[in-house]
Amino acid sequence: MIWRTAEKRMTSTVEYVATIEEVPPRRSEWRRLVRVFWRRKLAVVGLVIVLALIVVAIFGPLIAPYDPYKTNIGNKLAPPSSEHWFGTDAVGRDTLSRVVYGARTSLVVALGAVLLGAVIGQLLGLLAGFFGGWVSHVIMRLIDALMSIPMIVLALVISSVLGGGIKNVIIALAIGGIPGQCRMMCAQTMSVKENDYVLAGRTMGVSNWRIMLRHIYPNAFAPCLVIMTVSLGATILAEAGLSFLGAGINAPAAAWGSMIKDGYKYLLTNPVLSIAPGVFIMLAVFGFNMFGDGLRDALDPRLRGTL
Amino acid sequence: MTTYIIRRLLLGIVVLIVASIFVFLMVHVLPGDPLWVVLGENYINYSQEELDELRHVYGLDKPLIGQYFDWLGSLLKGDLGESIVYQVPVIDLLKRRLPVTLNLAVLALLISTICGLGLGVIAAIRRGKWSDTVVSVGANLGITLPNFWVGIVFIYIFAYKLGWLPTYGYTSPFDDFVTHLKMLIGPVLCLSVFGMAAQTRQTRSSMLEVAHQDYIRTAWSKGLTERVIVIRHMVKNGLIPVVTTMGMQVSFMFGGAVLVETVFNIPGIGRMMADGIGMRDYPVVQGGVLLMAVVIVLTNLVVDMAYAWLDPRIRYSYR
Repeated sequence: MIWRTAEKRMTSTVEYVATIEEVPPRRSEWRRLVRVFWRRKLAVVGLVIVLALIVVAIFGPLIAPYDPYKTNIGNKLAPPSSEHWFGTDAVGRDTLSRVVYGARTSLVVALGAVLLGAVIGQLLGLLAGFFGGWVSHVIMRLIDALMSIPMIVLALVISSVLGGGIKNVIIALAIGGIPGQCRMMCAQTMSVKENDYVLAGRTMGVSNWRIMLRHIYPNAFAPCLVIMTVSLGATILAEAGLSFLGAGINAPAAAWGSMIKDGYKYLLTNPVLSIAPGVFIMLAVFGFNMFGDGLRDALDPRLRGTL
Repeated sequence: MTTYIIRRLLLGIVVLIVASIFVFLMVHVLPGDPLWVVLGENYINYSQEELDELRHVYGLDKPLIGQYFDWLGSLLKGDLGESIVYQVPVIDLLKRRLPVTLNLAVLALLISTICGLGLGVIAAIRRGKWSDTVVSVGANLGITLPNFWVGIVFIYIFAYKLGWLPTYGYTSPFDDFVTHLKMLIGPVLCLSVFGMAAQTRQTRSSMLEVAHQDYIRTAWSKGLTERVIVIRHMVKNGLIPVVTTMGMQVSFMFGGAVLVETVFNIPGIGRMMADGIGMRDYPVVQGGVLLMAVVIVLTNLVVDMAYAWLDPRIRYSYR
């Protein structure tokens, strides 16, 4: 409140503020972002793949040719044909339909885990970067300890302790995603808090929380967004790994990792059972990685074209 | 420099203590009785009195903090408990299985680092040319491949279809060196694909960033040859982020080993962890996680030393 009143007073008394406000910086900034992003062909390919994945995940029931849960023992382990493009699995379920439904599982888990990890990680990073001192020491040592355990192992242990299923896999993978978000937000906060507008806020008596959430967070968020996008791909890979080991999402639910695991037993006779879901994992991860790279280039001109 | 090393060492110890708390709590936040972890499936055969007595014997009736210090005490003496499934001390299992995983991981790390560095440098100095495009596309695809799936495809092509290599398993190099090498090709390749791709991307990126620095322009204007500029000025300075990637790779290698060793049925730490989790053999899982944490913290320590060697600014700031 104090901040707003002060802003108004400044606008009415100092003329040059009004001149600066006449320039619409946001619109041209957006245009620049879109232009840089659009110029990177791979980023556009990534965006197309991500959009296609979202469409498949939302409209799965309309796209899938068969019910992915319906078993048909009489037609088990059928090879690819015009009726079943990717054949059928050990209990006669249509593999293509399960791959389509698997997109939904992957996307829900990845989005859920990345968002949850980002909320916790960014909050911890904001606190560590803003307060520094012992707060930062405690938080960063916790993060270092989390990072000393490989992400997939950490998620595997947590998921097995909690007992599998979509909700628990999301929690397990979110914990694995906390360190990256926390470290990036901490570094960003430490640099953003040196700006004059933060000092101005402090001198006007704005509370720490308000400075953190209103003034630092929005200005420190962009690199975290890039990490979040790339993490979506890494989380899809990790979820597939967990499901492959049987500690993630298991049949009858359709998940790409567990489909590869179940198909592995029939590799010699029906290789498509485990190869097809792998190709889709690759596509999805490629899409998110390229989209994330494009986003980073657009948001950070310094790095443009180097990766 | 000594201050820097001591500081890093102390931080490493603190990190390990925090990690040990995580590992300890892992079993104690399990729903149900922690005694289940010790007794496994036999738990249901014990009466309530017997369970109470065992709880006293194992110190499980003490407060949590007391239990942690007891556990840490035996840990420092090298006692990691006994495996529920194999009925042998966990430390013996780790001793037997660690060399197998290290064999795999060290080879994979070497291959991914050497190839990644080479490809990254080539892509950077030939930026925009076809070789850069091929390497960049390959690296971008490489980081999207699930290593366990690459293993399955590898087995299908090279073992089932072409019959060139054995399907899966592990032979010690001391028993039969040629078979050992043949069996290692697939797992090492799968384990190094992601690292190689990540290292290539990182090397290319940091080399290109260094290429824009003023001292590189100065080096060109001094009339130095391209070889000298690339090797002496670009590679050494561009190595700093690359070393970070190498440190992180050790973590990826252990994580990847869990999956790759499962696909290729290799009796290493990774397979032990996957089986331990599957069979709820928590002492084994705790031992495995702790061992991984120790190796990763030690690696990070070495990486920090390497930073100080590569970047004089770090050395001098701690004088």
